[in-house]
Amino acid sequence: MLRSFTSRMVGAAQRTNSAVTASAVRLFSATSTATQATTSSTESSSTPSTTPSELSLLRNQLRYYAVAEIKSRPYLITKNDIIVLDRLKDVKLGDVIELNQIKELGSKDYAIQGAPYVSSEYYSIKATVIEQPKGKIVETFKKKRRKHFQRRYHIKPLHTLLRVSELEVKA
Amino acid sequence: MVAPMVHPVLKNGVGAFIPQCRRLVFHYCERSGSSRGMIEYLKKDLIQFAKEHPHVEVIVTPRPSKHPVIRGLYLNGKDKVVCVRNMEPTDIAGKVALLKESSGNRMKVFKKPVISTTESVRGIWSPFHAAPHKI
Repeated sequence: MLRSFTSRMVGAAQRTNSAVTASAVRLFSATSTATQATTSSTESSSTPSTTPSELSLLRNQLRYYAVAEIKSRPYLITKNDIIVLDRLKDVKLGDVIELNQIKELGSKDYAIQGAPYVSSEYYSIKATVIEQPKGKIVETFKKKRRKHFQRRYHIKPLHTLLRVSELEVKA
Repeated sequence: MVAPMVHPVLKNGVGAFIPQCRRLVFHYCERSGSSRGMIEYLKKDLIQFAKEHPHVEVIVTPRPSKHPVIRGLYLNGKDKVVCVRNMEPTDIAGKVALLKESSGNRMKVFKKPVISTTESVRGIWSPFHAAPHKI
């Protein structure tokens, strides 16, 4: 299901702030409001799948983000990011992992929301294992006052760092 | 006037992945008891490790009357030193793997799940460019 962020822009101030880049979508919302209504996601859509025309809207944008689910945790990633995970046991340095549990794939003006995941035909997302370091010692201190109870727990967490080497939207 | 140095932006893993560990130096003592496990590791497991990781330069040097030590040198010029006194070969193999898989960066607390230098895709929220709040 393609979600458009133009619904936020309608009714807002028309002058552009220098801090916010002028969005080409304002043209879109002015000329074809009919198309915008079908792609707006506030109501439940009758067509949950993404059509090629909607996908081409996304493809014409410049930069993308994705919400990837790795080990049941969401990570909002763009290209060249480093993902910090708990240590993956079955992975070596230099391995390339293809991420296929993507909850949301979006750009500045549009996003595809998965139900529960976006179809893997629409994207190609890969991550390389760059490092498997040990983190700094983390101390947890528990105390109950006047009860002669205090504990210190020390953990040195193990991590796996993944670099997002590819994040592309396919036609 | 000398032109300022321009440092390349390194993003290891995006195009090509380069392992960060450059060299591992193994120091041991022939006589002392704390090097017993280290000597056993050097005889049994080190050659296999060196073959599996041709990008790592492995140096073995006796260091008399000192505890056994493994020193890892990384591509950013920093090194990490681990003392393996009184350890068994399996524990030493674990330490070697730890050094091999690290980069030269200091151990730090990772506070956020994603480390990013790209600016946000959807932009920073501004109250002047959003629909007014409705209740």
